[in-house]
Amino acid sequence: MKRWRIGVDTGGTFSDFVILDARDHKLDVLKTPSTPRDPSIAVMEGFRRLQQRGIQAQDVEFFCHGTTVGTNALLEGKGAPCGLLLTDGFRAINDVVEEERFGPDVYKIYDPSPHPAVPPRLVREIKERVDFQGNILTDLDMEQARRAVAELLAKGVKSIAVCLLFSFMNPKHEQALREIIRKEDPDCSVSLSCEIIPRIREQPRMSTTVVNARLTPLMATYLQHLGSSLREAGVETHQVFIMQCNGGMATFQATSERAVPTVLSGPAAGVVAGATLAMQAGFPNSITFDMGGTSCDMALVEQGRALEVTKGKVGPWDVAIPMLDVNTISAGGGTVSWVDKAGIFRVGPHSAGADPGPACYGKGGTEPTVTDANLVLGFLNPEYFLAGEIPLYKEQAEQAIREKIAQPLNLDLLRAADGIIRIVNVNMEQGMKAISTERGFDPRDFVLVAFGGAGPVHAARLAADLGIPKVLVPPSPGLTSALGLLLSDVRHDYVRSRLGVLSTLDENEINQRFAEMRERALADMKAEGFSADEVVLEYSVDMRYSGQGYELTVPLTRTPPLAREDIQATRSRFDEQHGRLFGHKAETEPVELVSFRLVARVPTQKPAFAGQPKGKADASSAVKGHRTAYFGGAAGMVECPVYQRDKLAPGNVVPGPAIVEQMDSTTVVYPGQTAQLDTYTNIIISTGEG
Amino acid sequence: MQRIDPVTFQVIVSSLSGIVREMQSSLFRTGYSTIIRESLDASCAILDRQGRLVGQYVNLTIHLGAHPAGLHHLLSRYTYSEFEEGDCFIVNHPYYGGSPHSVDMFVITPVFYDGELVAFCSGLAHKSDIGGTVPGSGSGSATEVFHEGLLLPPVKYASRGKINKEIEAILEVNSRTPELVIGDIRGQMGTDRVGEARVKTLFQKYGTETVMAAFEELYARTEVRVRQELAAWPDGEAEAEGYLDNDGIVLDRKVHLHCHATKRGDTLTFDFSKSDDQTRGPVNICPPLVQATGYFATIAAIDPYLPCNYGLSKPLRFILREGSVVNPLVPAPVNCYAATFGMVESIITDTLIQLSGKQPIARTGGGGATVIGWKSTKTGRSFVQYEMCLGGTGAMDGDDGSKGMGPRNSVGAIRATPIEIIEAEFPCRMTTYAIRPDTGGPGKYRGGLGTVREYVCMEPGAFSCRGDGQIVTASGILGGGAGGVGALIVNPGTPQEKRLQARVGGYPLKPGDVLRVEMAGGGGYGNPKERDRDRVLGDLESGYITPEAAREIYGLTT
Repeated sequence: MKRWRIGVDTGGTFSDFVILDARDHKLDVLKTPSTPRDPSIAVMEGFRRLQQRGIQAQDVEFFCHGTTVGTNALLEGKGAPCGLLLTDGFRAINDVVEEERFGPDVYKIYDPSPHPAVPPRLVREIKERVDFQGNILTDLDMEQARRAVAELLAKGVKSIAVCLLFSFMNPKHEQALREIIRKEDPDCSVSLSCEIIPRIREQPRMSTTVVNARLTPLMATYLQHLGSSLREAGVETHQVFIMQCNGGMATFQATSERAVPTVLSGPAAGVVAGATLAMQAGFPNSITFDMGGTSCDMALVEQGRALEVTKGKVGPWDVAIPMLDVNTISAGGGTVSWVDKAGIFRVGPHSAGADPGPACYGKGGTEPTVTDANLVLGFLNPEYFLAGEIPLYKEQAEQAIREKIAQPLNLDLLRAADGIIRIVNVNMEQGMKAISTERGFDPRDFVLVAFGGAGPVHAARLAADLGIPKVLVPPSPGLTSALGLLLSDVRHDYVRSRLGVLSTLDENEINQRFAEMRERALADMKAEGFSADEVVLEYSVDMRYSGQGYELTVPLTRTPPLAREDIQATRSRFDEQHGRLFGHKAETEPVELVSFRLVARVPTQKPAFAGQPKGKADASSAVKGHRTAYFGGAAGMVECPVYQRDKLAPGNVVPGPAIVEQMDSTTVVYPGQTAQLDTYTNIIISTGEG
Repeated sequence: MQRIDPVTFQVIVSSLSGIVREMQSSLFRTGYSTIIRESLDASCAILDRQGRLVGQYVNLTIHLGAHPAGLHHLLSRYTYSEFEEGDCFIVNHPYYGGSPHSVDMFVITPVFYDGELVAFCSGLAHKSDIGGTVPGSGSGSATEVFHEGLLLPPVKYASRGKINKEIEAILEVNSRTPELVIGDIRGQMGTDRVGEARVKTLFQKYGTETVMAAFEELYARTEVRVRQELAAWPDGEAEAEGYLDNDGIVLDRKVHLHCHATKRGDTLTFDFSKSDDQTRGPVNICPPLVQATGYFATIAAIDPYLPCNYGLSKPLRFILREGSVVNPLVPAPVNCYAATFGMVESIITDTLIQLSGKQPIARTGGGGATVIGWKSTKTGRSFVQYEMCLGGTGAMDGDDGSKGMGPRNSVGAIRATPIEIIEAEFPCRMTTYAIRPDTGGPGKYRGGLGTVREYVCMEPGAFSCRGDGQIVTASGILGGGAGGVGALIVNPGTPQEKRLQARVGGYPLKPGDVLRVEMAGGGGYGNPKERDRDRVLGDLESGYITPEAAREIYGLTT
């Protein structure tokens, strides 16, 4: 009987499996070493091990895979050999790499010059031209195009990106080029900018299309391989998906045709999980905070929905697709603390990594890290780190902090260790402000959802500093990110640019445009096996005040077809959003519509975690011992109880100061704070703020 | 001065850099004109109550010296008792305001905490037009600063949170694009307000005394760091020089820029006395811009992560002869400052490379900005199409130069305006955006190539350019050749072909005219015959060099 829902997150060192039993909603986990050369080997190894636990492949009802295969391949300069077709006369769109150097990068005069997205010898210019209204000024020269394509194929390209000027207004020429390429070589992968990202601004559109072109053949091969391995192993279900950077999933088939949404998807599952768990616990507004070994990922969730951006970067290249607005900063357990030449106390951005790792790992590391500080301060248990898998050596942590920080700055050991935490926290605080206050949100209106191995160690203090009243620590912080793979919907994004002043736009044209997009979305979903009544459609438009250059995405107030007053209502919503984000709005200024957007979503059946009734407040039976820890201030080391997480039950109250230990993480509750377990066994810490 | 513990200090410093970054992102996102929103020509800073720079988020080195200069002029015209909470000042005067040129406008807001003025937030952003003889206000033919648009010394734009409508009215009637100018200034004020609220919170959290102490500590530590580094260099002197094509008015005479740098102990002195006298044409630059080049070169030579604040300026001394091209007197025009700035930055960087014993870098091709002022024959509405255009950068050991954007180009974050935005918003059509073969200075490592953009006019327009690099080439080093020169050509290849010099003020364009903007290339490094053969072949195949150049300059035999 189909009962297992499995998520597999392939990371650099380990592939994490999360297994949910659909019958009783019990979670199980499994780790296998990653196999970077062929990541599917680790996945298959996992299935073998699951079988030993009595989990049969044919009983799997749902499978979702999160992978960094694509992002890594691009960053390592791998990917399919790719050619590029541009409008005649405009090759410099590729030759000139727009870098946007900010901050310290401006002074790096010895940095190497950036390389174009496609080597110029693999670029051809095509005789054709469309104007900004979509009129054809110069017909496509079919014969010249055919020769150009043949030349690229002769040079061995396996994939061709096509980005013609204003193709988002009139895709005819790009589509004709696809036919030409198909005729010359039916096996060559084709990426048309009018389909990948039909948005104004040629340079990011080109770059995104090239990223897709390099990635798609690679992902197609990988997924074909993985798909057949899964079938061989006995997996029968058709619910087999891959995670995307928009926080939704796609079928293997959809990704094999358009793989760009899988780049930068690494942190997305964690955001989905954090948002879902917070929502379930009664907190629709949350900030997800996933802190691991080298970095931390933060995202803001409003009314259950993570904020999104329409552009990211892979290496120097723009990727202009909708993605969750995740702010990643270099702050993790392995982040190194140091004193710079000006005598300033710094933490990061470099990390001691997994090898040698923090000084306390005893693997030869001598640099003091955040984990070393947490150990010296008493927050971590040297005998119970990652359930005792990695023994920690306190003396080595102390020595590193003393030599590298305390002595040069003339601080005592505790203050130096506490300083490391305060400084790494302030760096994360800036990161949280970047996604909250910089977007017009007040962090005090949000709950902080802390996970990843290190998140719950830092969260309570960080929240207090930001004025955040509550912290939520999910039951398995170390696995929360992988759990997100079981909580996502199937999702595809559609966008079409159409620059025009809103007041002069005919509503019929708007409705027509949305109807076309809807048709396309339903057709795509149908091809993947979803019927129209399963698909949820969300419509929005990108708007700006006339003269502005950057747009806000504004949800429509109702489902199209729209009447005139609906358009007016959407405009009012835009004013409101602009006022909140930028502190000023201009209700009397004309507004331009730049792009139409449509999100098509197929909600999957998700595990509903059953709550348990809250029991008694007294948690003393979960106390496994006591130790001293430093919570700041003049009090020095303070004795506090240490609780065992799996012995805590709903309703239990844990007054601070306290430490809660579990296999995959440690939660710190500060003096004056109180933690209570909710019905889903989340730890809810009240920070005393707000 | 109160001692501050190292942790609190770093926490405050990190918070300050977060605030400046937040101001900057707010400014870019709310910009109306393409200059701010597409080219990112703007910057933000926090300064202390004496006007000393606390922190700046740097995307443009041009603005490194500007904010303290703006504050200096504000504080020399207003006493502390005249500042009130909610006030906001604007300034754009190059001589009485610290602005690089009239279209760069400061919006400065005093920050009060507990009834006391504790700091200033400042934003500087390029405006699309502030009047003057040509659209965009920057005429290559200007001979007085009065030709360059409306000039404002520090004036109160908003009083206790309320905009002074008199000031706004003056701005409105003095600009060809009043909506953009007012929109951008209000956006800048919003940005200052964001900074104001955040700085206030910081003072609230740590107390005035502690935050002020952190400012002092920051200056002191930065200064000590710079002095320590300088002390480790051998004492010595270095010289570097460069030329501009001409001043835009006197066309047969190059403009000479010269820097003599002396490093003694832990100080640096930059003496520009041998530079030319101030020019009739608009290539003069005021002292804050020269200082900015010095700060840039010092940070680049010492550590790109060095914080940028008042402390950095203390070990540096500038000798700028009054009445010279680097310290002109009113009313010398200044709007074509960018090319001069670029050259001064190159030569000052050269002197520090010599003094510190670092790797030399070939020169970058002259660049600047083009402006077309359009007036629609249908609606009568005016548009200003402003674009930054950059030359190819210089090569160095191990790396070819880049094409316009990239490292060794101090403008950092500036981007080319997208073709699709230009055509959708302005009455012109582009026919070309390409690279220019053989314009990269030959060498073992090749200079960056110049680019070319070509426009067809659909309406009448007035073209101005504040460029350089048509006569003076970007020189190569250690056997490397010079980059190719740039050109501005109207109706190229026709009987009506007209070549314009690099500084143009309001050249009339008719519908149907073709404008071709060719940018210069960067200098090469080392003997081109020693260039790796794969690189030569790659350049040939990429169309970066011609077969003749491959054969004759690079000695390619196969």
